[in-house]
Amino acid sequence: MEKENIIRMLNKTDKAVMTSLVNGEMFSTEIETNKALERSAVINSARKLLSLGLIRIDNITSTGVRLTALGKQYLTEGLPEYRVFNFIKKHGAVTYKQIFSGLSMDKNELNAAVGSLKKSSFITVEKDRVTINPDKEKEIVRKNSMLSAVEGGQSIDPEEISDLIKRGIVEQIESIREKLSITALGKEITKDREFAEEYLDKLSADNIKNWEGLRFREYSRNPEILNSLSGRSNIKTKFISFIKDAMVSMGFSEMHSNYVESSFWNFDVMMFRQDHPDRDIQDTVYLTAGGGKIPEGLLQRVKKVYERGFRRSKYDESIGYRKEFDGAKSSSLIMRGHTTATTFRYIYEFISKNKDKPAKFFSVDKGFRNETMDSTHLLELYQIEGIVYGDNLSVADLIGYIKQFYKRIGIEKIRLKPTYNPYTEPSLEIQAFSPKLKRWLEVGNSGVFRPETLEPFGITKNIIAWGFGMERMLNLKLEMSDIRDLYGAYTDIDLLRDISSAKIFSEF
Amino acid sequence: MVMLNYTLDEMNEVMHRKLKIEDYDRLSLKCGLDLDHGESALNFELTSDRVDVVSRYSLASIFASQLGINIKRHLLIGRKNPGVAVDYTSRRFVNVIYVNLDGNIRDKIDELIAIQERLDKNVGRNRRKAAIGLFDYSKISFPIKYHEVDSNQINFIPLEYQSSMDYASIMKELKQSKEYGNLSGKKPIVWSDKTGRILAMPPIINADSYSITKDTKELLIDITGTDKETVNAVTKILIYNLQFIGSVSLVKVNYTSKEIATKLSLETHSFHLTEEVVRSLLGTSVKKDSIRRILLSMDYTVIQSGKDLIVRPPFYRQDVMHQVDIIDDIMRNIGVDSIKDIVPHSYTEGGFLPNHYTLQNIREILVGFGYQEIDINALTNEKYQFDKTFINGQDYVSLLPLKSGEVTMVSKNLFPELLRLISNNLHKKFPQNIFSLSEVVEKGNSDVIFSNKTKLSVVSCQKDANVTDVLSIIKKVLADAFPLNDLSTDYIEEGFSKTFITGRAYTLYMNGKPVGFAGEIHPRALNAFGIELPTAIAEIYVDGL
Repeated sequence: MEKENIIRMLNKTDKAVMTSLVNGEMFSTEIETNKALERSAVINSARKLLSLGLIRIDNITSTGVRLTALGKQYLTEGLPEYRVFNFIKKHGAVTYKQIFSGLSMDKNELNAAVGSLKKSSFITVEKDRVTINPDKEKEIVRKNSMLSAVEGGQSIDPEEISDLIKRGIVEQIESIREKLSITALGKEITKDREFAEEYLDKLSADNIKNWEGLRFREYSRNPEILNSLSGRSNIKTKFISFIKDAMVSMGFSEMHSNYVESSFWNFDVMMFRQDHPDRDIQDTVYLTAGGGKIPEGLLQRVKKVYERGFRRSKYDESIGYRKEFDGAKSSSLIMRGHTTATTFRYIYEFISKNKDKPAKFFSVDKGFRNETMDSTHLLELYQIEGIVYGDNLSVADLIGYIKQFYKRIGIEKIRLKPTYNPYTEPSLEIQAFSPKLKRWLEVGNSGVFRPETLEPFGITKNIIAWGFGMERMLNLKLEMSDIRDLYGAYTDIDLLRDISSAKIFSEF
Repeated sequence: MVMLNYTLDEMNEVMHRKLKIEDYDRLSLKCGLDLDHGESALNFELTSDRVDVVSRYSLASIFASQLGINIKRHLLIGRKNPGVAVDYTSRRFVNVIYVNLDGNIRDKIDELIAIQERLDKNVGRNRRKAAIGLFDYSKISFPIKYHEVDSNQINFIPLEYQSSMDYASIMKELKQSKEYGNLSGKKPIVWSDKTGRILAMPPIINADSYSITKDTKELLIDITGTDKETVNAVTKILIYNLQFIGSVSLVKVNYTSKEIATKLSLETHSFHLTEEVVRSLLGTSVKKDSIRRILLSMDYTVIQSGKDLIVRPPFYRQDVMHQVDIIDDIMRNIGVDSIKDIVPHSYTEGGFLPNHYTLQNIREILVGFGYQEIDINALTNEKYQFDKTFINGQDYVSLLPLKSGEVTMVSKNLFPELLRLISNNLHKKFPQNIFSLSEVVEKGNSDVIFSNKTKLSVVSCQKDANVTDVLSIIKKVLADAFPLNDLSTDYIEEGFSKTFITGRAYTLYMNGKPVGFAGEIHPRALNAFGIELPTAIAEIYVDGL
């Protein structure tokens, strides 16, 4: 394109951006401040200048860091190794026993701290006497001060704190900034006499009346067609509606219950063993408050089945876990780990009180997990769950419902694999074939509720159920690699605005 | 999940067949195992119910039952009484077994250690509930005794060490002490022989002098722990897995008191099955003879009694509690593919939650105003909910510390999360006019103290943002979705004095009843979020309308 033509396309902001860059590269944010421009104006202009070949844009990724919960604890207390080092320094030479009795720390933490100090020669052990290596004091003080540096938002080389990252004391976060620089053509254009000329951008009523002699700024031959900022409902809402419609059309009624749940409804009623690892604080989100109210009769019936099983007939008997059931654990409050807690509340409220009527229920709601968040793990996830109650239901019926449901949400080719769930038997993992990825992927779980889970409700007919995590399927459909991009406050708003809804209705 | 990693040759050696990777792939899918494989490496992942599968022998047995292959195993369990006494201790439950190996142990030693480690970790819960100790039987002078001693009596050469160590040195220097030292009680527990020499200090370390070597031909194994059922379960699984490499005997243990007797029994419960019971769960017919053949191949004991089959699971299976567990085994054997699906046929009326269409309508109106819907997280942090918004937090759900330091509570208001989203998207396109229709958690009249409440929050962040524009949107929403036309306002009185600009913040009323609030965010809060454009918000309860 001719230089003159290019110049006629430049507006005031474009010119301001270009003149800012004549003396060297700058971040877009610096230009905003220096020229008192709005962010959106600078961003739009930079895109245009880039397409005209007048500037270059480099994305500078910077890695930031922040403290984890453990990191925050250490920020107050000091790193374990720092505390041990200081303890030894304070007391001159000490024995291991003195260290272990003198410091009130977790034993494992203390062991690890002593081990690491020894390994890095911060301390010396001679004949059971431990002393510090004074040459290393600066180093350990510096290491400990990294915590406040991280908290204070100072820029730190992640290499320097790689140990703290590995130990889960500090976690990494990434941010991207745009650095702009002018090209040779851009520079040439700023020197052109025409560059200083004024071209009219917006038409006023006066301009329209007196248009003769005015020079209009020209637009490019192929202007960047921006995605307009329309309002939209969230892509998750659309997907949820798609699923809900499928469920309702199959005769299912929607369920709902509170996020806060008691361990009883989340675990006990489903016959999770009381020492099941999912119940650990490492996996479940516990409230500081406790004291959920449990229906006493039901609690006693669950306890009985857990401890001793039941015998309805010689063909239908359970020996239970043959272990003591501790009812005191049942009232602790948690953020429900799965929506099956809701399902069991509905079994109690509706199915057990209308045993003669067939029933189908579904829910699309959140479950919560104690996870460290990364590109594939989230702390809260939408779960889809469907259950069917009626006469003579079997695994064959379950497979029928699964096939029908997945077909309705655009997934044709599925297969089933036996698996294990604490509260269903048989249990079947649902796998779908991805024509794009050319492999089988897990897309759900299913099964027939164990008789032990239904006995306390007096239910003797089978209940079949299936479910899956919505985010995982949404990610497959949208071909996204980072699950966080559509997650709460971490959502990338431009991605959310521009993502194509069509993908959620098709196969993945 | 338990991982078992073997090579193709290792598996085929036990299977006595030249199976290919694809064969294992097909069999794994049918039996319900996950298999990842390289060119010749097979990495199996087992579900947590089959705790008995801890070696390539027990793993191969799953496949063998599918293919009708018989893997050699010494089924007879003997009895032995070399002289073993057990005192009451802090780890009071003890079983002891003896194994006469087929030849010496040589190439099986790694597998044996792996079995020990898997059981210690997965069933014994890192040796807390149960732990296993291995000894070379021929090196022991019987009788032996399991008892507590004073720590000053401890002096032996720990496994893989050269010289004797006292209690303090063992606890200080051994990596095992660091891992398991906290499992022993106030007094150390030892196995000692008739001369008083220490064989081991369970569950931490054995003495080197009694350790197994490549030439070991006979094993003595102790299973010690705090939980009787776990000690017995580990013992049974161990017996099963060792039956593939030697003949196993139960060693008679003389317990000093009745309450520590483990009463180990290899008997299992008898379940009745019929063709009809199987058909009613699977929805497909399996003939009685087939059921019998399948269960026998899976090591069940099956007795025919009229139309009934009386079925006893193998002694090592911890997962069979009801007939359904046995039928699940039958299903895995015949293959899920052989079950023909039944097309859903029972009629029930489907339906959404009562507020479904109201919420849908609200979304539609806001989208019409050009607002983008945001899905807000329930889990958040006081920093956003209260500190940066200058709100005095009370009556909210506070959480015990989580792995992610970012989460400490459950959302009470939606708009702080929307401001947080804008602060994370400062380099993205503006205006950012957004809304969320989500549930928050508040103290309420429920059996779990708290209840979900549905709220709507509307946030406009742009150069001309102002509260009156946002109020006009709220008015439209209320008028259309409910329909309510008497929205009135008053200056907001308490709770938000620092959140909003004074004189630009309102409590919203419908029929005189407060339903929410609206305002222009004060620069102090905008600065706290790093937002550089005027921002106006409204937040209303949807449930009560």
